[in-house]
Amino acid sequence: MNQPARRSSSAHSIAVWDPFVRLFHWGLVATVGVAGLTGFVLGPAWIRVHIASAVLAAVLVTLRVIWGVFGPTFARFSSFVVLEPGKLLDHVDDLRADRAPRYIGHNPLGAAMVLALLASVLVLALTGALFLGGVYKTGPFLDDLPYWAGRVSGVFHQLVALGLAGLVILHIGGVIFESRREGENLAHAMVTGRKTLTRDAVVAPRKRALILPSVLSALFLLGGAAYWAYAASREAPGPDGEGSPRGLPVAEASFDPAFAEECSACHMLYNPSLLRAADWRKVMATLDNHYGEDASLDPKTTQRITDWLVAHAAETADTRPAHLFALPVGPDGSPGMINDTRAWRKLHDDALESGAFKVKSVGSAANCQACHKDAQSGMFSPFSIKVPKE
Amino acid sequence: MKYRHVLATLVAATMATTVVAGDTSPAQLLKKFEAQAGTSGSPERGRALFTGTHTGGKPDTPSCTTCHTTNLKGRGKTRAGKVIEPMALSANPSRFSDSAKVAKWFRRNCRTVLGRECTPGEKADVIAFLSSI
Ligand code: HEC
Ligand code: HEC
Ligand code: HEC
Repeated sequence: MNQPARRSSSAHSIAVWDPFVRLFHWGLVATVGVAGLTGFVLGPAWIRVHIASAVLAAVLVTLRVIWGVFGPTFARFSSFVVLEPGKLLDHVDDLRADRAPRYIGHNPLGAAMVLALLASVLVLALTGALFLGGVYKTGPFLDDLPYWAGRVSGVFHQLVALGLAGLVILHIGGVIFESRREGENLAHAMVTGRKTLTRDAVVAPRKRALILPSVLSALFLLGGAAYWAYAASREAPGPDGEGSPRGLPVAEASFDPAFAEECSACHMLYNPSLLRAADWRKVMATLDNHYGEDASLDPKTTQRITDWLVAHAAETADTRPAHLFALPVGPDGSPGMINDTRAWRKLHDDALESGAFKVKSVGSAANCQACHKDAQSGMFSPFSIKVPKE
Repeated sequence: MKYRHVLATLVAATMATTVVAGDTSPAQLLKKFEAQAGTSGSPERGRALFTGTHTGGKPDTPSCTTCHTTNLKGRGKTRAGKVIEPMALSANPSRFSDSAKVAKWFRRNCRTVLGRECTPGEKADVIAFLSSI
């Protein structure tokens, strides 16, 4: 009512960021923030939240790309000056010489940043899904992606995530710098959507938003992706079903009956894919002195179980645990324990420190099943970890 | 005629199940071990063996009660945390009904706890003890 200054400035202001661009921007801040926090800081226990926020971020970026093609003036990639060769360096030179113009949409550096951020999120989603498929045999890439390819994707995923964190810092720095230079709070402009129109400002030629093509491409792209991901994730019925993809451990339903009977008397069944054939031979050759107990069997049953374990040993599986553990050997040649291997200790450092293994219902570190609900399947999926409280 | 046929099938089926579930009984086993040993099973000696602490076996398992616990009507627990059903026949009538199973676990557990196999006399004592409580 009585704020003439504001009135007059709003008279010269112009709508720049449409509601979708603003929603997208702050939605991306939230989803990438949660994905970064869960991925970098909170760790595997938050894998579900990590994936959910990552999928949301990828959906947002996909919509933004469509809007970049069909949206209104300032949302369009074609009005991003950076796409014109030479403009980026010219802009840097102009900034150095303190004669850079004000851009009402993205300035060339800002536009380059936007494209880099969008690309990073998509690459992260892709490498994340490849990692889940190769290493954990889950998600849309579960079929035919070998473990090593999943590992490579995982390393790449981490590097790109670090890169994105760096870009975000640069982006914030750039916004602060440009806000100072222009005398206008650009972060605030991303909330209101409006910017002050000055005489010397560079304004991209006006373009109308094409709503129907936007909606149709969104439906087509997201619907197609969702359908493909759903169908691909279901291609394999999981370790318990028929026709499992290459690299899954032998299904529990197909366990040899003698193994299932004899080797479950004192502890959970250790899936044969946890140990190499050579390790199983050692375990089975020393049953009369088996981890401090006599677990001997008649020779025929021993042979039968040995053959079955060897036929389904780690060499035949492509899961993460199948690549992790090689049993240490004691001074008397008797096999050591999985939980004495360095790989196991490294994975359980935090759990060991937190006292999770002292809980009564766990009893022994070898009682993997107490925390890994899918232990007997040999999968040890991060989705199935639940550490008991007592 | 028909009834007889059905009856015969039923009897055969019942016998088949008894053979699968177990081929012996605590009394039969007790008799067998007593005959081999030439002495009769003693619940007192069985209790001493079962609940006593021994030194000849593996260090982590000095007694049968390490796993089966001293409350033999209750459940025990292996060192890896798996539940063992009660040993006392009054609490678990399915004990000592399968001769291969009995032989296997006497062999293993006596070696584990005593460092040697149990004699037929000791086995008779254990069965007499677990039948008496
Ligand atoms: C008489 C009891 C008994 C039987 C029967 C038995 N085990 Fe074990 N096993 C143990 C004990 C005790 C441990 C050590 C667990 C611990 O320290 O918590 C163990 C440990 C193991 C481990 C090492 C686990 C680890 O964390 O590294 C493997 C592998 C294993 N057993 C395989 C087998 C197989 C295969 C069979 C069947 C042939 C079998 N066991 C039967 C008592 C038994
Ligand atoms: C007291 C609970 C507990 C027990 C018992 C336990 N684990 Fe774990 N395990 C965990 C936790 C918690 C994690 C997640 C660690 C992390 O990465 O922060 C984990 C992680 C793992 C992973 C990696 C999963 C992944 O994300 O790829 C493997 C493999 C694994 N454990 C194997 C075993 C095996 C084999 C045993 C038995 C010999 C075992 N664990 C026993 C709690 C347990
Ligand atoms: C290391 C743990 C452990 C110790 C120590 C142990 N047992 Fe056992 N025992 C078991 C397990 C496990 C079973 C098989 C599970 C079951 O039958 O419920 C078993 C079964 C048996 C059976 C078979 C019973 C049947 O149903 O036929 C007998 C007999 C037996 N134990 C006797 C003994 C005696 C005697 C000792 C001491 C000399 C002993 N056990 C010590 C773990 C142990």
